[in-house]
Amino acid sequence: MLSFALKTLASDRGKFFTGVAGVVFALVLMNIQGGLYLGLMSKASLLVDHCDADLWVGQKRVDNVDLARDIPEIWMNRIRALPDIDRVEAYIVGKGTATLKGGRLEDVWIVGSHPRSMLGTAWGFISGSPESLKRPDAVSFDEVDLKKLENPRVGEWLEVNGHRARLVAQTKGITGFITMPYLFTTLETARRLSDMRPGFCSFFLVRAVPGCDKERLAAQVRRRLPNAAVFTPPEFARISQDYWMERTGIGISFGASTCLGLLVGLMMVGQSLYALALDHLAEFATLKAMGADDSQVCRVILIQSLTMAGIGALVGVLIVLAVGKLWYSPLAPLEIRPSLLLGSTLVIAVIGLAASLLPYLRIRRIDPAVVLQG
Amino acid sequence: MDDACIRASGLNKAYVTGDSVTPVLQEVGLEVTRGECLFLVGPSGSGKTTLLSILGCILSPDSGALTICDTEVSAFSSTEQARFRREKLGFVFQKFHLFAALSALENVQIAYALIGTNKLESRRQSLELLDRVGLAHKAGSQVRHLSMGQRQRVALARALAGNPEVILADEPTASLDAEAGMNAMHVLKELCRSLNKTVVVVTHDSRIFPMADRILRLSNGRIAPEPVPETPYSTSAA
Repeated sequence: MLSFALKTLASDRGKFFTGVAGVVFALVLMNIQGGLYLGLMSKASLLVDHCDADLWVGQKRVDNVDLARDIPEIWMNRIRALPDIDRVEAYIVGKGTATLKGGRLEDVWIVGSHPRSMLGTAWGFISGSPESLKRPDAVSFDEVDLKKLENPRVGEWLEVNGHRARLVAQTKGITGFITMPYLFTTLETARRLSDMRPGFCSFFLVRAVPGCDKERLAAQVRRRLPNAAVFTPPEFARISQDYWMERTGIGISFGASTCLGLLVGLMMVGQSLYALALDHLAEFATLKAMGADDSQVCRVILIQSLTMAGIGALVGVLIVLAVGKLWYSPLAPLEIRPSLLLGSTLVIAVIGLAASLLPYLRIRRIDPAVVLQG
Repeated sequence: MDDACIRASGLNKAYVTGDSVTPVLQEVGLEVTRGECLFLVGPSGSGKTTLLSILGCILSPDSGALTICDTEVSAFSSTEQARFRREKLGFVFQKFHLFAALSALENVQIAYALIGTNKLESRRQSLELLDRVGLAHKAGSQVRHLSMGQRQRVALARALAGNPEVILADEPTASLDAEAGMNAMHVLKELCRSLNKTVVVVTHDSRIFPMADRILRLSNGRIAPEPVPETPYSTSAA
């Protein structure tokens, strides 16, 4: 039966390749859409994902790492003495307006880290280093924002909220969900550039002693700071991503286009299998006349559809991996995760099964008596 | 248990189209003994193919009794009919109905696949059958590359695959020229005789009548009482 199923499938290359193309199309679309979505979502939690803190402490109602609310620095004293805490540092994520060389205004994020550890500072330096940011008024900027900032060069000055800032370092690949430029600096420079009130900051970054239970520590911190929100990094990353997903409806948009791709793939595979079945009705009738029962006929169709799905998925995965290698766009990063590839391949298998339903129902209706009618 | 391989009595079948009912078989009764080669003949529309479909458990009679290989089959469900067909019956079709994408060997093997024979064993037995029909050397050939006569012999080998008790042949010479038709019938007859198979052949081809052990004529859906006239080629018609 395997031989019959495969050779019948291979005998009509046009229909076979149409079906395989449908699978490839659906799988590539799912992964590109899914990869772009994941890439975009990871931008929403960029600061959290690239920070080595064990806990994030913020204002009670904070729901996004970029849109922080001020908290009093004095609260740090309530938790510093907890035995599982190695150190606690203030962290600022503020907003400012940069006045550019040409006089144009550009909104920017100002991110300030404690100069001792520079925890949560920039990464991917192509010029300068975290050390260079410790100089007075020093800030970094990213390559992706060159155009927005009117092509500044390292060493040039910038005005932010009426204060002078010196561009001392350049990074590559740091851009957030709403694409406002990030200027990384120290806590004090950030406080000044963002006009943060004295004695306040945006978050506390907590480093735990090695080997401690982070969930237990989070619970202890929550008890000590009932008016603060305490998150582990994965929790805060998810909350930050959910914030944008719920407010922008971006998930619906990506989901709709992915579903459309799946539907097109399903139609192409289903149509190919159906046309193939119609072309071979006499052969299926012969099989039934010879005594094939419904399960044996079903097995033939399933082998054919899963073969199409399997070959299409293999080609699709190779294309996706190649695209993933070649793709570079900080503004629209593509995150192809193994779980995405595996998930989409399983969806393709389901598409293959669904696509075989219609031809199966058609073949089930064949009367084997037709082979005895000349 | 007796020596009758097929025993039918009072078989009736009618086709219903809207309000009109067209009787095709009326009170048909027949017996075919084990190892016998029975020919069913008669003009077009006489009910030959319908009777063959009923004997082949492809159609169910509206009424009547039918026993094949000591099993009452007239009330079988479609699932039971399918199982009975693949285990007990072999078919030779007018247009062969071979699987175009497969080789001669694979066409025979597929009958074994239906009854669950493992691949090695089905390959061995299929090659043996192809050898018996004189086509062992063509086992790997695609059936579309074979002559019509060779295709019919592949169809014969396929019908015999799985060791069925009864072979049902529908106009087995209709798609062949005279010489190829006679050759195919010789092969069918000899094989079935040596393997003690019961054979029912529906045919219009009077040239092969001499190969029958017995001939029944159908007329207007009934078994005609009169004997079939001898043909110029007849040697042993019953």
